[in-house]
Amino acid sequence: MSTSPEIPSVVIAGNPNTGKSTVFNQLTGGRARIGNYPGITVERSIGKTRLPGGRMVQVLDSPGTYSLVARSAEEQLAIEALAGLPPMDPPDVAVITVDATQLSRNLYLVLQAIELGVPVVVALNMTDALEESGQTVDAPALARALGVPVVPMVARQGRGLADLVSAIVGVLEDPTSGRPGWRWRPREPALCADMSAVAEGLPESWHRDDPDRRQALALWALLSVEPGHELRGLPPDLEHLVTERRSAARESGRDLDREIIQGRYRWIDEHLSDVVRDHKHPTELTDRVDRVLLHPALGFILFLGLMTLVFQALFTWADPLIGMIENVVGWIGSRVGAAIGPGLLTDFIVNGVIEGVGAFVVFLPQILMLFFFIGLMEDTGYMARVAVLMDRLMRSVGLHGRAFVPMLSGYACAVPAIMATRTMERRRDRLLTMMALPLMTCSARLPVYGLLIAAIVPPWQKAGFTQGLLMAGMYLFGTVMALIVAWVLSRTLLRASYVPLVIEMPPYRLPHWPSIVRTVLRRGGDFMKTAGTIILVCSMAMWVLLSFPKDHGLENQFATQLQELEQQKARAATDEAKSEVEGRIAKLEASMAAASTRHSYAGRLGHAIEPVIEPLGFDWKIGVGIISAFAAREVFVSTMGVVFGVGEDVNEESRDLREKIWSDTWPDGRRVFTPLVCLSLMVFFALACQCMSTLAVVRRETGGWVWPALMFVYMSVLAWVASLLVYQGGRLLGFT
Amino acid sequence: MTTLDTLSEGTQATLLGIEGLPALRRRLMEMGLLPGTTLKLIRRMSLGGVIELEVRRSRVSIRHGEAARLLVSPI
Repeated sequence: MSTSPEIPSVVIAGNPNTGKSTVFNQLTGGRARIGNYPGITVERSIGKTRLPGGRMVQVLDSPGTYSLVARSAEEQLAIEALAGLPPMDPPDVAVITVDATQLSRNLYLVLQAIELGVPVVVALNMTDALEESGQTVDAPALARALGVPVVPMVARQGRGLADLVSAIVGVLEDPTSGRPGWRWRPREPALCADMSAVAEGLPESWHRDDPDRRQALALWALLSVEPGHELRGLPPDLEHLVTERRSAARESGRDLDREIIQGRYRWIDEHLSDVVRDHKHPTELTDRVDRVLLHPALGFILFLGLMTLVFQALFTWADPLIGMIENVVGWIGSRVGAAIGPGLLTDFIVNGVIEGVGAFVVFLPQILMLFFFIGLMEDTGYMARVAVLMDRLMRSVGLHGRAFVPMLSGYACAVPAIMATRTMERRRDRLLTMMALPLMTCSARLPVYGLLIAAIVPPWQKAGFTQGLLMAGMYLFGTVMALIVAWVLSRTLLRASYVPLVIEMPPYRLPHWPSIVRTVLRRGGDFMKTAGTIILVCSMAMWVLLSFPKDHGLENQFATQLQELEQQKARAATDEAKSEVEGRIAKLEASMAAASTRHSYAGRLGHAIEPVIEPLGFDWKIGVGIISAFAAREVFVSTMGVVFGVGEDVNEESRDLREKIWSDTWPDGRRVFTPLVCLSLMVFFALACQCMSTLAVVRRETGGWVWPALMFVYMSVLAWVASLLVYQGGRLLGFT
Repeated sequence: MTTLDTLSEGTQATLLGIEGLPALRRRLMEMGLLPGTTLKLIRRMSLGGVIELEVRRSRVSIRHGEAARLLVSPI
């Protein structure tokens, strides 16, 4: 971390799910700069805050972890941030968030931080849940035992925050108050010898001539460095020394891991006996609730019921709100358009900027609803049960049990669903879920499927039963493909070093509504700021693609014709004649739009990519549709309306559009939209990554363009190959 | 001596040792599952493939496959 010398730095660390991010957000007021750790694309939040007395501090949120021991570059970040290994500097204060109900496991990390000699403040969080867990914790006694300040907190309610701040100030003013002087050290002579030997291999930039720090880092290396590790920047000397010591220990029948880990836990157990008291049989209420919610049959039924509710909310209840937003955006657009008068600038403001803002604001209802449900599940303690219930099912394709909620939300919309992957701690689990999720059939694909399924039968017929069957088939296809992709990625690109699953089962508690609302609003604001900006820029780019270049000759010609028709309309004697002329005006405007789209960059691109998509059975008009659908999949339908000259106000049931599509032919007279082509195009839409908002939100969640680029490429290739197989395979089998 | 996954609900046992790869053993030990620790099997969830334990005053769930690597002696 590059800290300016005059601004002290505070690192927040802690086990997963101990309220680390809550403490971070409350300290920084939610104003964090999101970036990446140097040399690795793991998100890092840095915020500044002014302490009482006017002093500024820089606050860094480090990844949640149970231990500083690391085997991968990602796990290594915790030790780098906390110890201040190059390229970072040691923090001036380390705040370790601790779950008061899981004290001994949490103190294991605290002990490691104290060993390093970093000034520590313990944020003893979730003290409100102690009652339910049947324990009491004596915070002053814990502070005496550890030799560092301990601040009891209920972070999600903001309780204890002021005390935490003054503890931080106290340690900044007197660093020794956060350094106990004692620290746990091995006593066994053999282990001491190992430690001293390994300490010799540490570079000066690591140990900074501090003998205690040297010992602590030697212990870290003894536990972390192992054949097959993926750590960065290890001095070869160190690696060699550790390997030598470990194998020597193994040969003499010693277990280094156990000696060190057990030594720490023995210390914790001895000192906690005066700190923690059990006052009743723990978790009586939780036991009773779990007997129902984790019941082999009933538990699943209730879970599926709850998920149905979530799905219903995203799919149906969000609809009126989305419609309202679209209407408001349309209304603002028309008012602004009327105020400025027609012209290129108006077109840009209305169709580029206002529509672009609308393009990301429409996601808000679903995002807010999904995060409300997730907040509720996390706050009550139910999310841990979801992970347990779904673990076996999800694990069979390499996914985390908690991935179930995001995957299911993917049926409504990939954008909130991708944001929901944050409920998983490990980056690998998040990435895997994110990469597979956009294949789930989202609601934006439905109008496209609707149009194409309808196009299979002549426009004067109803598709009827086939329609339902095909639609269900497309849902199944998307789901199966998502699971296959997850399975493949989990065994190739995102193969995980094997980590045993240990899910903490917190006691149930009542939700704290204000903190849920705060989280929901922060997520919404976060989306608007980061992903929203990208979506807006993409929308404006799409507008340019579809509006330029202008063909002035053609425009003038249309304008003259339009003027004539307007005059005719003015002269029309009867209402009938008038509406007849109005019909002709509408037709003329539609064909004007069609002509200018054909002439636009998007139209040319459609032509340009025709050789690539022709083997899939698609012509250039479908190409234009595919390109414009990048703004959002459902735009395909209105683009078809424009290209076929029936205007953009069409939906998948429009008789006009269906007739045009039915009678559309290649230059040689063959029909374009044969049933086989429709199927091939549906398969293409099921798999292709035609959604700039999805890519924008993946960029936001992964902190770089690598993963969105990878997603776009793999999905496009998959879509092309699958459509090719459907179309060419179908032709070989004699279908048309 | 038996393995944890064979215990019935409500049984208490002392953990004797962990078999398996060093990374797995170390991680479980760091989570507080150390030889000598007393465990109680709270619930077996056959559908989820998970076992819920009480250890060091807190509740955790681990997978059947991992539970089968924990050698225990019932109390």
